[in-house]
Amino acid sequence: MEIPLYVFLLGYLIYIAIFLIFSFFNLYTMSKYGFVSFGAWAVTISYIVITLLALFVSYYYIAQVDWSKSFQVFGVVQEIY
Amino acid sequence: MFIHRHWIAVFKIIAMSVFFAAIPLLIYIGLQNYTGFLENEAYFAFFVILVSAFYLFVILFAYANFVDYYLDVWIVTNERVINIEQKGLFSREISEKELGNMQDITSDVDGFWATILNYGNVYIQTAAEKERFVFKEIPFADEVARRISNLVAEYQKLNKTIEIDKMS
Repeated sequence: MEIPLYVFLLGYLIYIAIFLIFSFFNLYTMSKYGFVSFGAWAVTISYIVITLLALFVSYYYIAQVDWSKSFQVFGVVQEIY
Repeated sequence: MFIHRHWIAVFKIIAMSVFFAAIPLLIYIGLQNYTGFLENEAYFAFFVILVSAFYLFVILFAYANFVDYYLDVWIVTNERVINIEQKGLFSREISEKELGNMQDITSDVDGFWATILNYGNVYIQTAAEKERFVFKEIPFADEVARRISNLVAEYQKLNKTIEIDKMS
């Protein structure tokens, strides 16, 4: 059974969209009720920087992949063992 | 008094995040050294997507828990106690009670780490209501309970004096 790789990419992009929505609400909540101390600022800026870094590293690897290929579902077990 | 939860709550968030972050790394080392799984471009792409999604989840989990920790605040003044509690992303509860309504103030330091690191819960029972305030995992719980008791006693004493003055 073969699944085109771009299906996973599409799923990943939807996941990123959900992640960004939740991030927005977290940042909104923090900006509305928080930010009294330096610690809160530091953690929030770290969160943004780490998120951007994770997305950049993911993009670096994802950009190298040929997404027109297919993924063999039952081949996974054979490859591992 | 402006009270947050003890730093152990932040430590727990960090420890859990580091633990979860190590899992894909260990899987990667295992797959790289003992299988040829990642040599296949399609499987590698699948692995990259899974790991990326997992790390983003861990980062979001850590930050959401920090927001929850940071926005849980208890404020004690010489007139009232204010309880501000963030319950997830979309729920925030703020309640306040005058010190005169406080009846029973109990501190609870339970467990090895709570005793060593000096944190615990403080329960405040308010008059004529089933609801009670709970200060969760706060530092120096015994001391906080004692101070609130003192404040309540002072408040009640002051109120009695004012009433007597009014009557005379």
